[in-house]
Amino acid sequence: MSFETFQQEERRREDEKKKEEAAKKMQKRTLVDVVKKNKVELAEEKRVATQSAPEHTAAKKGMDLKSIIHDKEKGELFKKFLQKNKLELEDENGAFARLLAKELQPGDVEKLENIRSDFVEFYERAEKTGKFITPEMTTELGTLNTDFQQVINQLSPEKAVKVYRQQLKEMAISNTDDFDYFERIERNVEAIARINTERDYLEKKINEYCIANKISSEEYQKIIAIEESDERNEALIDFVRKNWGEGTLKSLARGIDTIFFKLFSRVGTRKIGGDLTRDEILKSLANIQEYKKKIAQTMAESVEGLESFRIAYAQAILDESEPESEPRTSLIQHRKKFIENMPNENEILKDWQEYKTSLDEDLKMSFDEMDNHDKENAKKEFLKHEKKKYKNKIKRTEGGFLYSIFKLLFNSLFTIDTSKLN
Amino acid sequence: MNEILRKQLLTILESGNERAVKDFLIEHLKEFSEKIQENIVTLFFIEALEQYVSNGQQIISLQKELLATLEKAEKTEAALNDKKKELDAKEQLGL
Repeated sequence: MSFETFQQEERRREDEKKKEEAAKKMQKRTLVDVVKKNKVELAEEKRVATQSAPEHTAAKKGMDLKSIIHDKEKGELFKKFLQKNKLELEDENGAFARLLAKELQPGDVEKLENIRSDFVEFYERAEKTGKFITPEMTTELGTLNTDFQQVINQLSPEKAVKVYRQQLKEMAISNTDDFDYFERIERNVEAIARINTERDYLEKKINEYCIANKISSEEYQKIIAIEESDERNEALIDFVRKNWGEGTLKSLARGIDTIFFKLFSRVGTRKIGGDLTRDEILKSLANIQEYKKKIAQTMAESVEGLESFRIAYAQAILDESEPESEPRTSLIQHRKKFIENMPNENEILKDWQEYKTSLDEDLKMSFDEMDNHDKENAKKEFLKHEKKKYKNKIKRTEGGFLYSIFKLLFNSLFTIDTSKLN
Repeated sequence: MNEILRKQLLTILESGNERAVKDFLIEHLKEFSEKIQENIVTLFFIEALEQYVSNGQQIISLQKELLATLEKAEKTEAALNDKKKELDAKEQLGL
């Protein structure tokens, strides 16, 4: 019986059951009827009663099994969850198969309850994370990442959100590498919530200071007012590099530290600051005021026109740490390792020769002596083995986007002309 | 996935050039099956999400650093002003 048919059948049975129960109420059971029940029947009744009990306790921890099976989306996901985790559904005699057939055995309910409990946990985590993913959020992400923006443009933010929410559920119930993707999304979505809270607090503090001290950055304001986007971006990047570069900020902090040191350090019991002349004090005051102005202006820039600032910062500061012209050694190694792990036809054919030899030894029969049916089976078995080998290779090497894409498309990309397997 | 698309992608993947792979996927996104398209856009989403978080964290740590530096500057400024007042007072008293 297919899962869909089961769902329809289940609904029909429920209706019938309700009708039967109503009819039963009309009948009075006689004492003889009760006495006639033997012990086995009573034990069976007890078992059925305990089987329905977990639905009530389960409700405390989320959806119960019944509501999962009766919901189209959840039912499908539950089925996938069982399949992906190699639980029951593949086994015709398993607890889930018995549930579908209404032939539960002692212990089945506990087993299914444990599975349900895991499923609900992952499903609810995916739902919770999915709620944070909105069209506005994807649009905002696109402002920082032009690749992503191009992808979104082909779908629309609304469609993209729908896809992500569904994918999250699929990934959450998976026990493969997909689950790692789910956790990455979950972790980063949670991080965004934390960042937003912290940023609100910092922005409030900065704004209060800037208003109280009448601080604003005219130069920055002029730049973000430039209408032509390429020109604006270029000016912003230059501005950020000049004013926000690590060197600039460090030199500001160093300047302050120097004056701070002069004032508060001691030589023995004597404060160095005690020896400062009027001129030195006035000069230091002028410097400190200049530093303060620069810092405050930079702070103001970080909250005024934040979106432009983020883009410029991402491009100017973050790109600076990974210049394209000089890829880091780890990046080169990463690429090298990736290429090494790619399935290679020559290597696969070499493996095939070794596999054939091992077959000869095990079966005491050479590949050429096999009939066509056995030959095809041997080829299939070999390819299965090779796929596993390359999948494991990829699994062992952590990597970035290239690996992710390769893992994703592995089955489509891993093909070999089987006529070469002779 | 059709054979031409598969071969092209495989060649680009073998080059190990991530930029070229991304450009190819963006350009040919609609040519993949719907399921693969969904997976591809999810990978781009994860990358954008991680970039956004990293950028946000960097800006926050920068703002915190600036606030701490500013606090230090104010403390230094106050101490310098105290020194200046001390010198002014000494001068007024002819010391």
